[in-house]
Amino acid sequence: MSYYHFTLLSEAISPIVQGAGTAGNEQLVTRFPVELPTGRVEVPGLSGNSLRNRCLRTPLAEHLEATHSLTGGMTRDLLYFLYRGGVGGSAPVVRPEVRATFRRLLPLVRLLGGQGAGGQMLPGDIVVSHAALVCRENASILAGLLSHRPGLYPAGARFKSFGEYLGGWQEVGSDPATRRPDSLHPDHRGEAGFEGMPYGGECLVPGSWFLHRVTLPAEPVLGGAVAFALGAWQAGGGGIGGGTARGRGRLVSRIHCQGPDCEIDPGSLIPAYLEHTEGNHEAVIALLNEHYPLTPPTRDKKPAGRKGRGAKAAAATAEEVAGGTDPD
Amino acid sequence: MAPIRIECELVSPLCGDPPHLDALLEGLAANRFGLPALCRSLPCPAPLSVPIPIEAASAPGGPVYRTSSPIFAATAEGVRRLARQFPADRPESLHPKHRGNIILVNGPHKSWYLPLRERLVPRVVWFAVGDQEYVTDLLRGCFAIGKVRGKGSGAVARWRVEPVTEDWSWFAASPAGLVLMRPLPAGEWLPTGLTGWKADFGACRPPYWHHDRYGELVSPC
Repeated sequence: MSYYHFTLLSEAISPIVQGAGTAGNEQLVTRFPVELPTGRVEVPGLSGNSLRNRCLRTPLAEHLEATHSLTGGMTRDLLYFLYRGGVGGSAPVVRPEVRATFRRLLPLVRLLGGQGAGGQMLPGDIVVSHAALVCRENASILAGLLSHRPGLYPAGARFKSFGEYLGGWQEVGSDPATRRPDSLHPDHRGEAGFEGMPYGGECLVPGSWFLHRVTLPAEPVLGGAVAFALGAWQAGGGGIGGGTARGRGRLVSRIHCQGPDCEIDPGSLIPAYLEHTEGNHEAVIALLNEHYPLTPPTRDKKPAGRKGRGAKAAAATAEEVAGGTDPD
Repeated sequence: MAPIRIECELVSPLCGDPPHLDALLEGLAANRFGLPALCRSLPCPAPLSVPIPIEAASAPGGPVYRTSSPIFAATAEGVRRLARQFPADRPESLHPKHRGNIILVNGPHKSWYLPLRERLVPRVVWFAVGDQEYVTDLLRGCFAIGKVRGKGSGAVARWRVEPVTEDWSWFAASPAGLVLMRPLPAGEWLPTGLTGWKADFGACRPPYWHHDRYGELVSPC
């Protein structure tokens, strides 16, 4: 089996804030432990889980929704399945045919997997790495992530320490009621509002670089899906982490795709994905209607089963209620 | 087939435990040959049904591959969390009938903030008796090990497979006697003076998670 390796070199053009815990009032950024000859350090980075969701799942689900005109017609379970992978208890039986059909028709499912169609576990084939900050402490990790593409970085590149890329942000929250008391109903003007509550945390400053890797089976449809998703993510601003609606978390990525034999232009793979998605429109709609019906299928109600001495009496009562036995 | 040492260098913390080498190779070979995935509800296949370039030797209950358990040392330990929340920011995607209240604290759409134990493991080593070239070729298709591999945990930087002079796949010589290197069926067939083992119940052939494989065994400790 051969693979596509997408390597992304991403530059932060606004502060990156992917939070993980707090210290006092300060929000901390996600960190990963790194073992160095001098001891262990916690180096900031971006989690693979977040990258999967922002760079791949959301753009692919949005495209699927638009292509198959699903907007305004989805059930909650389908929405959850497409945008988050779904969940809903374990299935009582394994249905290999259903799993195979979902994986064949939906590149989103084939890549990222999920739990759908009545709790069937659908395995995903993609491996997304954490994004490593390009810094001195991560030198060995960067070399490892680039083991399939050694020439991407100039040999002997000198990096700064991660501390150089750590910054902070602070915002001040205030209650508009304290500034615009005239806008309030007279009955509410007596309530005290708050003003000037600062809150903040760490960030990775603009100009930080990250390296991340996405590995998947070398099939043009899957490669095209990843290239399409990464392109759509970049076109939408390349948002990652928190505060993207307020200008934070913008990444500009250079995307390299290494095929089984040579480097490939990611854009050249996209037509295969689009053709597959549009060519299977009817089949996808039929599949989703079958497994995510808008109105749940009606079931014939069985009479409540009773055992023992009361069973006959209950059956007789049921007949009376139903209007007696049919004389014919 | 000759004694080999397999080393895996990791570039991100490992979630869960590293796999048994024979199970990993069986999985990679099954992928390569397009064999169907196994699950708990399907019957367990016969031992050695997936060909891998590792020698198997007879033991009570059937053949066992000549591979050691994974050998590793964690230098740090922590907890990573996986978050998931219903996409409540997309109400317009829902059918009007489904736009009622959605419960996020329990039920099928409950939000998660799942803690996962992660360990910083710079490298994992196995000893085996096998075909160096074919093992290297199979392992080239493994990019991460452990749990939550698709989300960045246990990312592999490189695999190294090199020949060694001694076979340490089942037992390794030490001043205290022979040390057990992998789970093996319990019984009197084991060498006398064996050390570094405990009585256990589980599997000693892949798939290790299948209950049809379970039995009395001795495992390293």
